[in-house]
Amino acid sequence: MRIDSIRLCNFRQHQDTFIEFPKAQEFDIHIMVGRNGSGKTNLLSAINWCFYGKETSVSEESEKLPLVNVISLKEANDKTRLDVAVIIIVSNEDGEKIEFKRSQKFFAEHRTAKPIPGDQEFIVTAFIRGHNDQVLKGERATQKVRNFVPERIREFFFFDGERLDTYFMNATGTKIRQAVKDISQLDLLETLERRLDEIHREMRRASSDHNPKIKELNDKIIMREQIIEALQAGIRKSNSQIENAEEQLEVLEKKLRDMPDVAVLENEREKRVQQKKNKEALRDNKIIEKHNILIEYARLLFLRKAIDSSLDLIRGKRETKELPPPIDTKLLQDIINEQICYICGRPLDEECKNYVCNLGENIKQTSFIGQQLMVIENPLHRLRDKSGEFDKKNSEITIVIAEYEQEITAHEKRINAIDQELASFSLEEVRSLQKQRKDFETIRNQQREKLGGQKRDLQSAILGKEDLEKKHKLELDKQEKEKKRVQAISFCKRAHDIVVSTNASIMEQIRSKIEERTKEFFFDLVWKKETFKNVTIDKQFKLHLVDRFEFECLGSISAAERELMALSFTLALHLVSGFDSPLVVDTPLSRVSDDNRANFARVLKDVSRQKQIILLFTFDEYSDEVQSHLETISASRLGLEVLPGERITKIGDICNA
Amino acid sequence: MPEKPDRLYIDQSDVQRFDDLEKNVRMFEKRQKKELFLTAMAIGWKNEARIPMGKRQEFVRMEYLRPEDEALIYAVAISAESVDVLADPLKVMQIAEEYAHGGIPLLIAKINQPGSFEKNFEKELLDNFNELF
Repeated sequence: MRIDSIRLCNFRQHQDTFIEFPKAQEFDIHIMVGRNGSGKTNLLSAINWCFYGKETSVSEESEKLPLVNVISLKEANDKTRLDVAVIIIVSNEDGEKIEFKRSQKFFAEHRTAKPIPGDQEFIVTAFIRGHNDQVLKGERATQKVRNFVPERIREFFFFDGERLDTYFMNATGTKIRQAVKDISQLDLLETLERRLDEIHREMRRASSDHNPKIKELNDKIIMREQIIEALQAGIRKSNSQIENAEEQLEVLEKKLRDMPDVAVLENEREKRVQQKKNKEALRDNKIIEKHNILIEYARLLFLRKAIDSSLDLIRGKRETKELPPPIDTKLLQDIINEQICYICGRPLDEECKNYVCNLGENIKQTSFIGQQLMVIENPLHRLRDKSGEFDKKNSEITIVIAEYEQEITAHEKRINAIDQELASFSLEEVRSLQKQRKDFETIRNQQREKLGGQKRDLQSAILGKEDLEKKHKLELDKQEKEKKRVQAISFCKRAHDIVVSTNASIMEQIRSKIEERTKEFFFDLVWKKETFKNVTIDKQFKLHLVDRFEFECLGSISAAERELMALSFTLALHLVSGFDSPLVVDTPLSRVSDDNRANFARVLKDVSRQKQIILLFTFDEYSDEVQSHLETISASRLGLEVLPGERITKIGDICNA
Repeated sequence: MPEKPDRLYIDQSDVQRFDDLEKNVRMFEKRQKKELFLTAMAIGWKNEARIPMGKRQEFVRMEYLRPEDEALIYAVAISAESVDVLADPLKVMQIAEEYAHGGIPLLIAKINQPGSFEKNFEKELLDNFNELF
């Protein structure tokens, strides 16, 4: 099915717009380009309004305006009736056409007053070759829409690129699973499943009318079925709560993505402040040490010449024998007293004794000045030697202090950065969101635990029921007259089981194919091919993106990548389901970067071989790369131009738009 | 044998200066009085600022001086006069006190110079070191 044309009369800024989508030989792709506010989104809105009686993607500004074109409204005389209408003609491969027309009357009481809307009218006309035209209204008209694109899944067909970023936030596993069922038209099998189950139960109940034992078994089976139903309802409830929690968690994660983790930051800040204090204390100790060095060495360096001249004087006096050699007088006295050489350990001979005694006598007879010089000699030597160490000691301590300073500065910088980060957000809000996240995580985890128990109970209940059914069958088999009924019950049961497994098998096949195609499309679209490793869709139809480090990363990829993933999934869904209705996308590349745009254009070009695609671009989106892929192959290229006054859109050539 | 004096004195007019030094200059906070005295004396000697004392005020008891501290005082006295000055310990101490009296205003002037005193002081010591070695 494809859209042949759209006519809009007095619909918002489309006073009288007619757009034709001619079918080309190879690619059924149609380009419409217009600047912001030129009426692209209102075109998407008109399609939704025509099919479903309500708009989508209406901007706040448009919401304030009436549906009816305001210029027509101004031009209208008082009490004039204005008609708003959208007519969409679609056709199938056999060339049969269907016209969908929705109209609504508006009564303009006064040109300044808001027009009063009348009732909507929806008429579908089917033009079938060889038959009279069929005019349908009410439920029959709605059924035709359902055959084209059911309302429940319209967001997979007519959608706004700007909202693709939040696609997976709104599309939980259950919703996607339901959409897959709807798109794949598996509802017939489900209806069959339910009906067979009802017949099976009814037959089993009837079989127990005349046999108390069979009745007892049947009652037990019914009781077991009630338990199973209750457990299934519980599982659905738990699943729903888990999904709801995950949905909320995704919303919260999105909000928190750009917000700081207050608890972690505050904790880090506190640690940093303490570490900074510790480093400051250590630095201050080192500064005191440095002051000690400066003060001590100041006198050594300033007085170095005085020290040197005193030592030179002492050396001179010793050379002229005015001073005895530098000897420890106490040691000398001990040697004299003990008469033993403290160096070699032998007793002193006469010559040595005389020498040591003379030396001692010399020292005793040294003048007071000489003695003073001898007292200061050693300390002055030590001071002179020490003064040469200043450079080394000073640089060592200076380096240590500088290292501490660096560490302190690094802590300060980080503390300031944390302060700034925290200051730019409302901490209360962040804390509240984090608390909510924690609460939802708790709910999800509790429900997951509960779900595990429920599943075990269900399994056991099913086994119990199967056991009872076998017993029930054995009892029935004993009764010759119930033979036919037994056969019928067995048939119903087998048929039911086959339908259930067929349904599951089809869903599994669809899931597997959608997974495969989504992966193909995504890796074809995304330019960072090395970053991502795999795309999977689990049994619950929840999409997962795995990076090269095997981490789940759907929640942390960029808005553009999320949009590409949503598009990949949608395209896969379309192709796998075989649902051939067109794809209409408003601003498809709004969040897609240049690198991905060319890929995007190439992929859509390929898809348009099998499916009609209508793309509503802004000029910015319709870049050279996109043009190079789509310009020559597109079946139609139109421009949306806003006439002066900005209230009427005109369709024309792209160059004039 | 001449008797050694039991304490060092500063000029009465320097009492406030030493007091301020200890209270207001970070590098000299909680310093022993002998350290302040020896620093002032070294700066005075280095700058040949030996100024006779006026009214004297007790400042440091000699028992707090280490042999190295006393050796410095003696070296200053020898280089200021001659080795004979050692015969008069009172004179030795007097010479040291006169250099401290001449050095303290110079130290205060250094502190009041623009920029960081600590950095300037460190630089002066490094220059001195490089000159000597």
